[in-house]
Amino acid sequence: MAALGAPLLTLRALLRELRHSAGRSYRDSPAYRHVLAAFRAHRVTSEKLCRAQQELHFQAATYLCLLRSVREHEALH
Amino acid sequence: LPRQPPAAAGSCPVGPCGHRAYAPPAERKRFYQNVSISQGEGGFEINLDHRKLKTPQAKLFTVPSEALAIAVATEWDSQKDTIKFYTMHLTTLCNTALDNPTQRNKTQLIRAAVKFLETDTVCYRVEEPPALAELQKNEWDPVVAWAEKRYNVTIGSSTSILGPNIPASTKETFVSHLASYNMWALQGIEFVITQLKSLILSMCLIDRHITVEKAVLLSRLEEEYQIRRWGNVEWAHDYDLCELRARTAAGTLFVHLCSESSTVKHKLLQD
Repeated sequence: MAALGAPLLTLRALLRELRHSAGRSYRDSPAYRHVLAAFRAHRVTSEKLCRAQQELHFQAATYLCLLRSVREHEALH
Repeated sequence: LPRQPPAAAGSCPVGPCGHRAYAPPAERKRFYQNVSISQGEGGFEINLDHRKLKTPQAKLFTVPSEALAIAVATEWDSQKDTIKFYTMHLTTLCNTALDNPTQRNKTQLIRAAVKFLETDTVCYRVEEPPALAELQKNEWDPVVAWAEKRYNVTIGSSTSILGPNIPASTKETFVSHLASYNMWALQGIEFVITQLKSLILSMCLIDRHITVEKAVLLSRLEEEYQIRRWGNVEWAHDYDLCELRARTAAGTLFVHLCSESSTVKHKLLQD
């Protein structure tokens, strides 16, 4: 599994990106709710993760990369 | 005069000579207030106000995974005054999966993907300058070794202009591995491979052995080396890097979301 760092950091960064793109109503956005629900359901916050948790964390890190890169790309366009 | 686009919003207006090019225009004004998701017969649909999103070929935009639908909806809802299609990578991938504009079947897609092995970035090594050769060895050897172990194949690398000699059995192994993915996921895999210019890096990424950032870095190893050596046009470099990261991340996420059996509607994914 790729070296991803602490899941909580990924989650926070991802939520921050979603807040940034959604504006004021971010808490109601489907993506924000989905990400939070997924992390809670799988309890992806502790240090040791089982396979399913690792897969979710990887997905979250990938989505974070997508949102961040799109934002940075747009800023340079 | 060009025909009026249909009432249900398509994402591609008619071109100046009346016929439809596959790629949508770079930008268009945001014409909807609310974006929502609904569940239809074939899967999840995106609604822009009361209109259902369609593909460039006017098919109903339906995706097999709710998480994917949410991510697509987020792309549409993130648009401000103008819709920047070039940033909507997940939407583009879904359109490609639904429309299949290149009209390729599963076998052809797999063949195209495995063909990349013959020109795989991580297999092509330089001899000069020694610093770059060393960097390639240190960064790419582990990835090739990982793929050889994971798939029980021989790949190797080469400094010849012809590249490494990939045994037929290696290609067959990858063909049969890729055949285990459904058509949607395969479109994603092929997309990632063309972005990274490497089947090996793509499999390494899709198997979650490396992150998107690392895969992109490894794909651009020579560029990064030259930049460190000679400097760069900062803006241009970052632009390329961000775009490659965005596309690769989108492709990877797309593959994973289309492969999850628990959240996926199988009917839509039947080949």
